[in-house]
Amino acid sequence: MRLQILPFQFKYFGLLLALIFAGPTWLSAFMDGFHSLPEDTNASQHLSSFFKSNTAEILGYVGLMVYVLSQDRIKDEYLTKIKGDSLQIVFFGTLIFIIIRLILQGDWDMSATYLFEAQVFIFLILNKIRKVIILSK
Amino acid sequence: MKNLIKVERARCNLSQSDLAEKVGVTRQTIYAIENRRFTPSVILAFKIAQALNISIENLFELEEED
Repeated sequence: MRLQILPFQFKYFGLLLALIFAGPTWLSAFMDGFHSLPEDTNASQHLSSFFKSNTAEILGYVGLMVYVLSQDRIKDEYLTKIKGDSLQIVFFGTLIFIIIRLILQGDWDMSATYLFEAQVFIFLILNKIRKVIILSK
Repeated sequence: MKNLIKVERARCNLSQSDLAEKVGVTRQTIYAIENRRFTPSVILAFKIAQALNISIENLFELEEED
């Protein structure tokens, strides 16, 4: 089944949509978490209520969906392998993170969407860095 | 898997970019195959062999660890 049905220009549109609608929430939630504050306490309070709404969250995920459904600008089997490797590293890293947290803190509560968003964010950065390094050779 | 792409490319007077364009991949893919960092699919291997006018058996050679 061919999943990437949209032209590559939609990749930028999808990413932009995700960053505009979900980016502020991700960033503020991360900042509150980084400063060991409960969610929606400090950084999140400065956000407009729209960005904390379900609509903004849905639009952010729609953006990610558009990103996933878009073709790559440069596509060949080596770059596809790089992408697969990046996904594998992120999956492996998530497992290590979960195991370490379970060992150190026992049972813990974490929203599944937070973990998913972190995976998406790390994948995008990791894949970009690896592609830039490879394409510069 | 060993390969003679670099040698055959030189014989045909083709740069990595030329070969990449002929077979429809990026130059980096050709670089990765030449340096044995990446093993191409059968389809790509055939395309490369065709572009270099050589049989696939003469271009690629299996090693013991393959």
